[in-house]
Amino acid sequence: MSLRGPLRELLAIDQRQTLEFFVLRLQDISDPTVDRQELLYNASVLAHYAQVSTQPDVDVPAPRNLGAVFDHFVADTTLLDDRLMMETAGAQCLLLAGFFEDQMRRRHNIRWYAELGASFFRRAALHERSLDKARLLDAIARRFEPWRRRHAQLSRELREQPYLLTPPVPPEPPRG
Amino acid sequence: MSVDSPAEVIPFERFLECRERRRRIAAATGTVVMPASTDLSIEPELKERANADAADSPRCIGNRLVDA
Repeated sequence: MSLRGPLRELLAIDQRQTLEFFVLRLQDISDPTVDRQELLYNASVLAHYAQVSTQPDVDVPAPRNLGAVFDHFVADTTLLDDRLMMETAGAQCLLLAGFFEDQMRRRHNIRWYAELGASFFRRAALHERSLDKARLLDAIARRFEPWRRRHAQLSRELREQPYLLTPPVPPEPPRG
Repeated sequence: MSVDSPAEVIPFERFLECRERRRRIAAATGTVVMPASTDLSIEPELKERANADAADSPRCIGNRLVDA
């Protein structure tokens, strides 16, 4: 099937468009003083998981729930010194305890997973070779909770958005 | 705030890997996956080689490759 016209416009989104979407949405709900690097990083986490399947592929799949995060990154202690896996684990906690908080909170202790996510980012920062990235990962670890809340807020706003009515703009009064 | 200055951006590492992987798949299969455009007048983003109708060729939905 050839994807043309409006259908293609709906389906064909590239990485940059996805990243920009989340940058703008996170910006909308964040304080203007929020750290730019942290915001872009958080947007890239959401943009990544917006494009990754939960089915195992050549990449680490998106987790289905926080239990999967526990099984993969806590029960398996061999990954604790792996920088990229620790960053991945932190990002998955942010995604599920944050963006999918409402779906996860009935079965999982969100506060516990938020602390776990922060500790994953802290470990990733410890093993990171780039000083700039280590600083960023450490900052995400320290401010994990406010970022998690922003993710949750953004998720709720995106879910409610289709149901919101936009009031019609009143016509301009005639001049003179 | 924009994402126009890639040098300043330190993204989630797997976000970058995802793009690299698509590039590797494209190189391995000979199928070029172009970024989707918002300009509807532009031709489809999938350009296939001559034997792309072979059974083992991947199909493309949007900018994602899927098994045939």
